Amino acid sequence: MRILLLTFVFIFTLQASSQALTLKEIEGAVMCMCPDNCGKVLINCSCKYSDEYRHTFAEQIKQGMNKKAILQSWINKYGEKGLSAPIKEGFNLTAWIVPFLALFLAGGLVFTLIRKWNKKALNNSESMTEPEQKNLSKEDQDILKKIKNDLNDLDT
Amino acid sequence: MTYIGQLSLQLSFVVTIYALVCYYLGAKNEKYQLIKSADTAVFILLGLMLLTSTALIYAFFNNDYSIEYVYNYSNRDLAPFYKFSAFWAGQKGSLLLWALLLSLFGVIVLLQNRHKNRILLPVVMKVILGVTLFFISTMLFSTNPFEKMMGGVIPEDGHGLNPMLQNPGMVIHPPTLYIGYVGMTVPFAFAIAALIKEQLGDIWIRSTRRWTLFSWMFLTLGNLFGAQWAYVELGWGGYWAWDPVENASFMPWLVATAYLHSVMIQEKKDMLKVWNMSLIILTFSLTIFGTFITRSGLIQSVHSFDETTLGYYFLAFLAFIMIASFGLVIKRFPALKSKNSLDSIVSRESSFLLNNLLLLGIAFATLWGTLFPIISEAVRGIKITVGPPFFNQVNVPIGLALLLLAAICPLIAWRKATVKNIQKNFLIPFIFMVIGGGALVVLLPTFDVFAWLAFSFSIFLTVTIVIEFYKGANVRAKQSGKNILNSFFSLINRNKRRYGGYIVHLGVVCCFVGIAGSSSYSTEKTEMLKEGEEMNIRNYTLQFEKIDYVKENETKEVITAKLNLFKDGKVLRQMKPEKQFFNKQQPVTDVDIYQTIFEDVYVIFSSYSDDLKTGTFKVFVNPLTAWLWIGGWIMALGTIIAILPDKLESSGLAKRYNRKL
Repeated sequence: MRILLLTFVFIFTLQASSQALTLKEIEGAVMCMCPDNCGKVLINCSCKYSDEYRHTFAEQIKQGMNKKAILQSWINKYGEKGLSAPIKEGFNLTAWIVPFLALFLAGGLVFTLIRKWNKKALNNSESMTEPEQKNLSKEDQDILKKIKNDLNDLDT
Repeated sequence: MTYIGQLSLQLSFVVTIYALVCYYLGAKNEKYQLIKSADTAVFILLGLMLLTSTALIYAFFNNDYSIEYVYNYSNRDLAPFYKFSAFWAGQKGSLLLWALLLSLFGVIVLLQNRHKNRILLPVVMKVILGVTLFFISTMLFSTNPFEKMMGGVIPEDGHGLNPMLQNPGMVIHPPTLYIGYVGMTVPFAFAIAALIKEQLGDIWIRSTRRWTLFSWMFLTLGNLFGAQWAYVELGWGGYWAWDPVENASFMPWLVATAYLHSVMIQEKKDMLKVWNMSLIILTFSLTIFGTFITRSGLIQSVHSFDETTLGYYFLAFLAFIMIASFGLVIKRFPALKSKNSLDSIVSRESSFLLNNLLLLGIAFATLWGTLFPIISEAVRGIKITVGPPFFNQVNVPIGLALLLLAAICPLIAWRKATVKNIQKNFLIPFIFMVIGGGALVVLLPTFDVFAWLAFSFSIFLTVTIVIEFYKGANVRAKQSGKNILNSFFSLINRNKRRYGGYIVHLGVVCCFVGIAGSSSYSTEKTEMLKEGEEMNIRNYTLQFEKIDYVKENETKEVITAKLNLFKDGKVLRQMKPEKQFFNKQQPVTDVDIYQTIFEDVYVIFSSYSDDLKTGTFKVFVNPLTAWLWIGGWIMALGTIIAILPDKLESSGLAKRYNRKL
């Protein structure tokens, strides 16, 4: 039991150490707010101001600030526009939820449609039995044969 | 020449209206002479558009800085190659290019349909001419490419072309994308004609299948060239930043892809007519929406032209297109409603519907993310940014589901799939995926769940396609007695549409592999080096040799760093990243890339000391990036094969029509 507990603690410690805040993480979460208005995420920006911002973030990480605190200080300076994606809270949450909600609803609609069309097909096929087909006139049987041929062509 | 250009632009406006009126009156009163006259006007329009474009190109080559557009996008030192591409560097020229391409496509449509589609053609031409008229009007009444410099002053030299646009990728990217955008007008015009003339069968779809594929191919290549340009020119180690304008060209591509799949159900089962009409209307509307985004300045983008007034013309035009087109769909709804049904819930048809759902899901998420800053500002009064983290988190899972579906789709039979059929078809690809996926867990440097899924699904899809080819070629080899390689080519030749499609899917696999590899396993390092010093990244070594300064001409200075690249101690080649300085323009960082099929060594020359003895270099090792570009070309190849005339398709069609008769 002790060994198991120790293993969990070890894995937890390893995970925690691998989750240490990196500059890359912050660079990906903020926009370059240079006076040139380059409009790039900081991690993708090579403008002359970008290194200055990176330096500031590196200092903040060194001082032991966590991601939330660093981003909050950035928001305080430049507003929410300074972040590269909406925060997952309040009204901004709709940005994240709506695409999946729409997909879910549209998926439900598509499934309902497929089921409805399938039911229609089942009803149609049940409406005529084999003996009934044999009672058809020669002309109707030919038409039925042609329909079957057409359906078979669909698979080619 | 400027005068001739201006005059031909004005004349093209008159000629377009004349052709529109003639088509209307000719079709209404059944006067063949009027329609013939309108046909002639379409040819004249192309001539006038060519003349207008030639006049503008002549102005660029002749350094005519009395024209504001030439002044803004050129200068005397600009290389001839870029003087030509400066034609579409700004919005005035790009509008002219759009009108030129559309007038050319109008002529081609006319020639293609000389002996067919006579009922639809006058309406088709009216739609094409209507769109052309809109573009000509924007140039005449809002953004004239021949507008003179303010106050009649003629400067000695031009402002010059944005240095970032002085790249071969930027010469090819815009026209390729425009061909794709403009080409989508043709299927849209046929769809509208089919609605107006109540010809709601699949004739309009068959008549425009090649146009749609052609335009889709150019949209694919346009997006690919744009990504390549961003990769080599923007110098941040990536190729896709989910910029609003990139999104604007991605959305029509997604909807057009959905349309290309769903039309097959209409052709085979006479179903989804309303859906297909809606998709093509949406595709065309999104091409206009993309132009609106670029021109309105509504959304901040590195691509914006920063002019606001023109955007509202596009918004009005977009609203008109959507209201009129969907109004027509609603009007014809009873006739468009399908009387057919699906034989089974599990069938190829159902999987195509699911495919449409996912493609439109990505398109919607992209549109939503692009517009959310405006929505946020309207609701909360706070402007926010929606960048790559949002698009990646939302679109990557949907994209992976799409990849899996593409792998499963060919294994499910048309009409009805039985359990036995599914088990039989799934077994081998599934075994390969499990073995390959398992091996990847061990082989991948770090475990990234999305990348792992992308690689595993790619294995599934590749095996599925290879089996499809093998089975078909094997049967043909047995039938014809030829060897398997001969049979493979004859198989593709016999059913180009089907096997071309599979080749496109192979290209998609390559793209997914490239995206997963480069985005999940990229390594980056920045170091300041003195002459002779080295830096190591993975198993590569870069030895900084020196910095050279060259003044190429009066307006361009280049500072080049020279670094020797080694791998495992063996010299590979000399890397020469640059910094280019243009008068009155921002400096440009020109990266150098050592590319192999497995990985790219991407070197950025970040900064240098005043004495040019020290340089700071940012180096990336991006795995599998080349797969993305190769994938794009494979997709283009597959599309070309699918476009080519197909014996099986023609004979199948003939058989069907003969039976109907």
